[in-house]
Order: sequence, then C-alpha cells, then structure tokens
Amino acid sequence: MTSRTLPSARLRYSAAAVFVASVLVLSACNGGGTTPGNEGTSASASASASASSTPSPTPTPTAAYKPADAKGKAQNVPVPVLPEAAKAETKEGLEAFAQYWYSTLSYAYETGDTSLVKSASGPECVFCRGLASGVESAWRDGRWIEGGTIETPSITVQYSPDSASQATIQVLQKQIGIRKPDGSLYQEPTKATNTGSQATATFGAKGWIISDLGLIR
Amino acid sequence: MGWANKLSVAVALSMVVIALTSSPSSADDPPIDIGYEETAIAVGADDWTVDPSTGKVVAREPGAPSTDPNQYKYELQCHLGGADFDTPCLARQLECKNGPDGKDGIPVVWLKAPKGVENPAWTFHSGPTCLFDPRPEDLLPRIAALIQNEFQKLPVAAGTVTAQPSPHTLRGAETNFFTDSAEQTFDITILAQKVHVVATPAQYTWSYGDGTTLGPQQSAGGPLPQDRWGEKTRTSHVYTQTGDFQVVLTTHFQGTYSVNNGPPLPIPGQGQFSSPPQTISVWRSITRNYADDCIKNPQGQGCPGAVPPTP
Repeated sequence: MTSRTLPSARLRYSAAAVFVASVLVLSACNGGGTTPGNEGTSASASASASASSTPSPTPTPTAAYKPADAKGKAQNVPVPVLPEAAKAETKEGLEAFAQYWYSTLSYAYETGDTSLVKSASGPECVFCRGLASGVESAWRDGRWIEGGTIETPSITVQYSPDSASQATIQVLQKQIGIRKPDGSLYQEPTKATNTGSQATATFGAKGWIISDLGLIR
Repeated sequence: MGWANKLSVAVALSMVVIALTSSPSSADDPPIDIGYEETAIAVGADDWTVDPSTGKVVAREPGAPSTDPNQYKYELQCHLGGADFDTPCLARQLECKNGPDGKDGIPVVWLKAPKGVENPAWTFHSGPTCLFDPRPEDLLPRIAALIQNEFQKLPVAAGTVTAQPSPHTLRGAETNFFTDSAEQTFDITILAQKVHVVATPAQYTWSYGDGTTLGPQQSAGGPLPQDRWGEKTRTSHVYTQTGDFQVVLTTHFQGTYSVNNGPPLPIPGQGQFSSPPQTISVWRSITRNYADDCIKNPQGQGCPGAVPPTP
C-alpha cells in the first residue's frame, strides 16, 4: 500500500523539480546579471587562471580534506580543475574531459556547489539538469550530503571528428545520506550504485561539453 | 500506514509550495531523487542499452522492455586473488555441507558490473551462497550451455486465448483477441545445483487459423467492453471466410535463472510456448426485411415453423 503511494509521489515531485530547474537554467542563459550566470563565469575564470599560472591547483594545501559525516559537511574538498589534456579536441581530450565532468559532479554532491558541473553540461542535457537539481534540493535548508562521491573506473571514447562524440563510462557512486541540520537523516540512504552511462559530447568555443547523458539499461 | 498518510500530505504541501514559488516547508519535505541511477530513471534518461548481438551501446527503443543492465560473476568467498585468502574471513566462512548429492560445496560471493563497459570494475552483488560442484570455476558456463534447452522444456503456459465476440463471430467484422499470459517461476535442478527460473512474456505471435499471422509483436491485447465489440484493436482480426478456425497463440518468453539463490542471470534467446488451439466459428449475417408480422406472414424468416430459405 505504502509502496504504491511512494513512486507516484516521488515522480510528481521530481517532475516539478525538473520544471523548476529548467526555468532556472533558462533564466541563467537569458538574464545577464543573475546570480547563476555570475557563478558560472567566476568558476570557469578561476579554474583557467589556476590551471595556467600555478601547477598546484589546491588553494590551501595545509587544510586537510575531511569527508562528510553525521556531524557535518565535507571540509576542504579539492576543487576540480579542468586539466590541460581535457582542452584538446581529440579522443584523449574527451577521455580527460569525461573524467573531469564526473569529478565536478562528485564535487557538487560533496559541497552542494553545482556551478562547475552545470558549466560543463549543455542546456539540452536533461539528466545533467536533473542531477544538479537533485543535489540542490538535498542541500537546501541547512542540509548536507554524506557520501555520494563518484568514481569512473572505465571510460571508453568513440571519437568522431565531424559530429558529436560518444563516451561509455562506468560510474560508481557511494551510498548517499542526506543529513538535516540536527544530524538526523532526511530520508532512507540511497544505496551505492555501479552503472554504465553513455555520454554525447560536443566541442565548441568553450571546449568540450556534455550535451547528452543517459543510463545504459 | 501513518507514514503513507504523512507522505501524501507532504506531496500535497510541496505542490502548493511550488505553485506559490515560496521557500519550501522544512517540516514535511518530500523524498528527493538524489542518486545518480534513480535520477536518470526519474527524468527518463535511462535511454541506452547494449545490443545483445553486437555488444555495442545503442539507443533503446521507446517502450522496449528493459533488460537487466548488469553482468554477473562469482568469486570464492574470502579470496583476495592469486593464492591469497583473507584469514579472518575464512574463520567465519559460510558452511556448505550436504549438497543435493550429499557432497560438500564451496561458498562464493556474486559480483556485478554494468554491461557495455570495457574492463569494468566489479562490485559486490550478493552472497555468500554455496555451489556444489568439484569445479566451481567453470560451473556457470556449463549451466549456461544447458539452460536454453532446459528452458524450452519447462511447462510454461503460453496464456489463455479469449476472443470477442466468441465462440461465434461475424465475417467481415473485427474480432478482438487477447491473452492473460503472465510471469511464471520454476525450480529445477541442473548439474546438482538448485536453479530458479523466471519466465516473463515478452512477445506474442497470433495465428488466426485462416492462414493469417500477426507478430511477433509486444501487445498481449486487452478486453473490450461489450458495447465496443467490433472495434479495431492492435490484436484484432477480420475473417473474410465463414467456418471454424483454430486460433493458436505463441508467447515468446524471456527468462532469467539463478543458481543456489544467486543473482538472476539472463537466459540467452527466447523460449517459445504455444497455447492449445481455440476454435472460433465465423458466421455470416444476412438482413431480410419484411413488412408483415408473423401472424400476417407465418412463412417470414425467423417466424416459428418457417422453412429457412437456401442462401
């Protein structure tokens, strides 16, 4: 009985969430001075600046990384930096970029900051938007995420110079707990997953972006 | 119970909140799709699959049945690789005594990895469970070699055929056919292992008995309310001749098998099972109009005692 109520309720809510997210993305594209737009610019600017000027990307090497737990959010999470290799319009370039894209997604889960993953994703990527809006919902009202970090042990690229290229990626995600400000769990933790994904990537003026992403079922 | 009520209240609340675009309520918040996999499913981005014949990743046809996205293998429990075993693990290893042949078995853990990925990393799926075979390392391929044949031998019921209208229908009219074919499970023994088989209907072929067939296609058909009989459906058929016809349904089943409570593994190829023939009589209808009733014209068609005319 309860299991019947649950999926439909979740579906309805997530559909609404996607709608809200798409509105946000649209406003980010059109409006010049809105906050999401600024976030995107500053993030990419700092990323390219640190990549070109300093070899070590970590701004504060003394502060130790500490993963999130029931008591608090993750601390000193290293900010993913677009590697030089990921700027090339080649097979190897896309391999490096796909790895970078998932590190920005992992970073979003750990910090609640979705600006990097959004700026590396195309506006048509429904799954990318859904992931960002899920992370944002989880981090709302003083909550934080425990776990949820992502590894990509296998990336295979089918590079096509004249059209969109494809990458097949294995995605391992750790169990995810959403913690409320008092440290209690917001909902049952989401179990760890081991899945395959197919990404479509295009190389434009700003370099590679993930223009479409889907799960292999 | 109380939880379900609370949930529906939470959903109602969230809808109101979104409509007003104010900050969300923190008292009763709805569930969040947060996982990578669940988000993909929620937004409909689970739209790729692995072509079983080529092994390549291809776009999944809309509405195509989703298959198990994983591949499986097993490893000896507590095995670290090579000749190394985890000693503390061995101390609390699963006991596999007295298998089906009275012999001892070997505990294994099942691992999974997504299909379509090159050199994937394997993660824990389930176990430990017991395998009862002197050569567990190649037991699965040996079972896999037999399973297709065993599958086709199972007493799988193709499903009952129902026609509307029946048992009589009319020439030139749409006769609706449907079946109630359902998932079925079987427990069999292969190479002294307990094997649990689940057969799921995937496709249907209708043989209407007049030389016409439909399928294989994915629709099982469905019942029409009586006032809509005669409408065209995805599985309906028009007979152009009168007579008795034997309708046979062949259901194509997709199967999975699990060995000693291991994960469900796909059975390659479909098993085909046919229903017993169902007879349908196709009649013709003739309309004759009479100006009189049976008292004025007792020889009129349908009047008691009237001799039927030769058509």
